[in-house]
Amino acid sequence: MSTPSSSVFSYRVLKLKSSDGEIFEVKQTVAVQSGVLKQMMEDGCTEGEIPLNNVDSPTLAKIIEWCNKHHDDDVEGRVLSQEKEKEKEKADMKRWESEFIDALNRDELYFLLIGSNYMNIKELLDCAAQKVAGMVKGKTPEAIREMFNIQSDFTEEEEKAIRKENQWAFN
Amino acid sequence: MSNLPRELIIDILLRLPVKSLCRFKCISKKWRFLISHPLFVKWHLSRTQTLGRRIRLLGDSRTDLFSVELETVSGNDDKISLLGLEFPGRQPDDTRCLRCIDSCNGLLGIVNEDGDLFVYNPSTKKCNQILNSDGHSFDLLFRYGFGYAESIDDYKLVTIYTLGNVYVYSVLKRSWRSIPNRFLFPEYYYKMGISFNGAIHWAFDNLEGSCVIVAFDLVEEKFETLPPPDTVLVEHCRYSLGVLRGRLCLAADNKIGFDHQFWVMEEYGVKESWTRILMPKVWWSSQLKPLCYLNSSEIVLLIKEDGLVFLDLKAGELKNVEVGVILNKENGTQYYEDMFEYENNWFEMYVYEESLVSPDYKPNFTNEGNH
Repeated sequence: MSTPSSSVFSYRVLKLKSSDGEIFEVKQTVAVQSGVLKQMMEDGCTEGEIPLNNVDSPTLAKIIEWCNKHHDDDVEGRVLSQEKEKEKEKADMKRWESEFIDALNRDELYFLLIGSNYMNIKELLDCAAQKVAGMVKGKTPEAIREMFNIQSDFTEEEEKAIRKENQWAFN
Repeated sequence: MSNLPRELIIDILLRLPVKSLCRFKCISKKWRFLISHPLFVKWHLSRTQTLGRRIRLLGDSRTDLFSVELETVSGNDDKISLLGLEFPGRQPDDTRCLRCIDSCNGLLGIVNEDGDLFVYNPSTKKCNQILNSDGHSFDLLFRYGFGYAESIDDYKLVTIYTLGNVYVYSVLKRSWRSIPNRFLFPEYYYKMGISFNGAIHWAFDNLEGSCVIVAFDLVEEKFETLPPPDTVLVEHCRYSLGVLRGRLCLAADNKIGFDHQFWVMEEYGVKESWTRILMPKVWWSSQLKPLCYLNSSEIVLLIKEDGLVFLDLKAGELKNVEVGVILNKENGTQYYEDMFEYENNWFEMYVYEESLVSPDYKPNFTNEGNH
């Protein structure tokens, strides 16, 4: 996620303030993975604390853990790394990502989705959304309503008709 | 997961298979509206196409349809098995002819031996019979085509007899139009057209023995020809077309000399862009037809008369792959049969994406479920 502009402030640190008031220090080279923070850096308005009103401290800690793992300072140094090594690194990263996501409970996953969306961290959002899609895929409509807290607004007859029309999808 | 912003709900739903989405239409009015919305349907399709996932192989035995998910096929396989695909309103023991014309955005164009035409989405199991209002009748001795023209956002079915008119059905307008046919197809040639780039394509040898590639433009509704490669095999040759990774391909073979050629048109319509893909020498006289790449590999699937051929472009190797179908016995058990042996000693294959596109296509949203 290196960009030409990121190298200018590679040694500098941003102070991120979570919704519950905790301060997290993050290197700019790491923070650049967030589209929102990257824009702020480019606009030169990252002095002082940056309030992230939609992200609480446990979620922000998780997000920073992700970004630290994914920031590519070292990768650039390893120019000569072989094709095979790159493949292995990719596979290792995939494994790390799935372990990272699988370890979260449903609430943590929910806040991570909201947080990564708010901070515009594409890869993390992609990973979290894919995880939720995997959880949702095989579920019954009742389980989905419970999971997303949805009340059905169909009449009994309407719901019956839609179910009948898509009966095969319930087998 | 309550109160997730709408954009995140959409992001999650776009990742789901068609089956889950059809099931989730009964969750609430909002969810049904979202899942049925033409924009959602388009985004879902474009995600499937971009990622190259949830792509299926379709087998057509002339009486039955079969399919298998392409991702379950590996380059190491020596045979692949397809499962029966239901066609709405058709009994399992019906032996009347039923043929796929082509696939496009997850929809199949279908014609039966009575000349009835259908647009069928095998993923949603929705089917729409095209009404033949003008009183003209079709049969299998027509050339058919089914395709999509992005610029007018319409699906069209094309039927061409050797002489007389070309009939074009617009799914969007729900009507037929007949156009005088000024293009003469060879009399013995009844192949299904290949849809690509808003046109339906056929390739054959003309009376002089040279290769002709004809394209019927679905927007202008007129014939054009595309230039064949300069050094393509000619005289007593057979030609077949296919689309691989967004490029038109041409397979040519010399019936007498067991000679095969395989060409890719890198830039549509540009003669100089034809690139020949070298193939190992083969000793069978079967015609080859380009089908698809095997997932993200460099293996191309080619259809042979009695099975498939895997052409490994990296290794420069060819191998035969048997295509079979899993059939149900009356006692509930299943058995495997070589697709080529099944019923007609004939089969054809296509590729289609799982999609939500309605066979009763309407680009502008109207309340679904009321028809």
